Amino acid sequence: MPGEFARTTPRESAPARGEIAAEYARHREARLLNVLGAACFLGWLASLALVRHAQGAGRARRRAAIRTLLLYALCASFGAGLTQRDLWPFARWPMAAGLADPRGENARLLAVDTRGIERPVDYRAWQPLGFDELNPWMHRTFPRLDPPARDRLLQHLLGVAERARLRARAGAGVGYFERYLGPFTAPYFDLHPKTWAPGAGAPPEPFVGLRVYLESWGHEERLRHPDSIHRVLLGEYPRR
Amino acid sequence: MSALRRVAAAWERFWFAPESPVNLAAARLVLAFQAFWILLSRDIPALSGLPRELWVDVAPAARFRYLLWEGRPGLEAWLQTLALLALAGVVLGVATRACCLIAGLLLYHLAPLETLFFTPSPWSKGLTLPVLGLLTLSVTRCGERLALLPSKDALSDSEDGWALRLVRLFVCQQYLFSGWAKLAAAGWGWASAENIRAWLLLANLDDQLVAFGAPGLWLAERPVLCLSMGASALAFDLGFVTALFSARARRLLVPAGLFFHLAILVTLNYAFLGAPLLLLLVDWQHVERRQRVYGPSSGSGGSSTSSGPATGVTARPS
Repeated sequence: MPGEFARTTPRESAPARGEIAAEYARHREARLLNVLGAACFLGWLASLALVRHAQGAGRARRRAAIRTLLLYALCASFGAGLTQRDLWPFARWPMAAGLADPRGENARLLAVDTRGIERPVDYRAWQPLGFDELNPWMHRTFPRLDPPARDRLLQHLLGVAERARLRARAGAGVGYFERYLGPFTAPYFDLHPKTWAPGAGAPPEPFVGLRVYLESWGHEERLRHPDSIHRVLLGEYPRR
Repeated sequence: MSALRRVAAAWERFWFAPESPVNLAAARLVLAFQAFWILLSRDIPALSGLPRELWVDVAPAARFRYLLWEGRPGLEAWLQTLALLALAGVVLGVATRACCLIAGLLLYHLAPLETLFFTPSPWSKGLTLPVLGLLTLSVTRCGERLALLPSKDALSDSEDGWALRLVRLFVCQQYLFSGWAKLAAAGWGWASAENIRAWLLLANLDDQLVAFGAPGLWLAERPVLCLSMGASALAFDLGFVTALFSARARRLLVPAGLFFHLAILVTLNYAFLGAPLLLLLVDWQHVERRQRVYGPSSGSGGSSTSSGPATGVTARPS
């Protein structure tokens, strides 16, 4: 894996003042949306309670309560959807919205084994963490942690990956989400390749380190040259 | 008649039209099985035990909104067990209203735990509609049919049709708002061949996010197909809402929706976990009636209690 990437550079830290202001605005909007979302849900419960309360009453009163509930549901759901402000469970459903960026960016976590070789970690190895949340979190939030916090987190993730490796090597499966439903287990929203298989299909050497990279590429360029990826080391454990 | 009165009359006709109790009961089962499927496919309580560092971005308002705090996996496991028991009650039709209410409230608490450290909205995780749907059904007689212990209320058949229509509206909104989000963010140019090609490349070049690479990359090289894909996706998203008003549209759009999600799965590598909820739009009363007509017991004369009139309303045994 290491030789597969054209360029590897260390990341510069210290966010600019503009970034800090944008971050502050993002937090303020998030707080407002959380409060609004909670209020919306409580209102929904109140309108349901109104219908429940009217159940023993006459038809007219019951219908009036149902009309209130329906109007509330329409306002809350269309409010969230049309303004594209998420008030979950009144969601905005932004599936594949927007113009796709001509450049791609993603985090990649690689385990380092006792021979110093970087090994890919199967997406199921992080369970109970979902790869679809862990990877973008690594991209967005991890770089903002202070070094001791980064170490603690990577140490934890290294333990998770190593336990998953041991379990897979023992033939007990990769990850454990399939424990109840087997092949009928719900997939992740984003599909991922299965890079490990139980038994000999899992990495043989113990994991002793973990590295987090940020990868970026231009789609058209990567289509022609699959190795044309720019790679930045975001963090590693243990630190060298 | 004034325009306002006509609108009011149309509103009443739509929401309070007669509806089969079988469809209401089937909605209860579909929502409960969806919630079972997701809960048994994950380990949501364990996420409460994640290291503190992963929770660094979780706003206090989000914690209060869902009553979620880190470091309580035992409590969350207990609450999930309670949710599963309530869902079992919903499926079996035992104390249906109470079970719908408990399951809906607990799912509202548990579902965001799956994504909270990254985002407070778990909209793509398959539990959004079960939360809304089960809470809606908690004030209806959805436990009258397909139930072990049917509820025995004295309301007329037509009274609770609004609930099924509301749940179906929530299903349709997934597509309507998805289409609206595309237009709001990118305009009609979203459907252009260039943008669809860019989406296909985005979804098929990162080796960490690709299970089916070939179909998407094959499509990306064909501008006419890309344009068709974009136009049909937008038309489907914006047109799906007709399923709310027309049984004929439902018969066409439910299979079309399943095909739509399958196509997205193999070309964009996105598995939309709400796809099974398209079953909420199926007319189960019609299916049941056909089974009775063509099924093995068709000659037994067992249809006296429930073969409804043309409106699809089932006559209830007195």
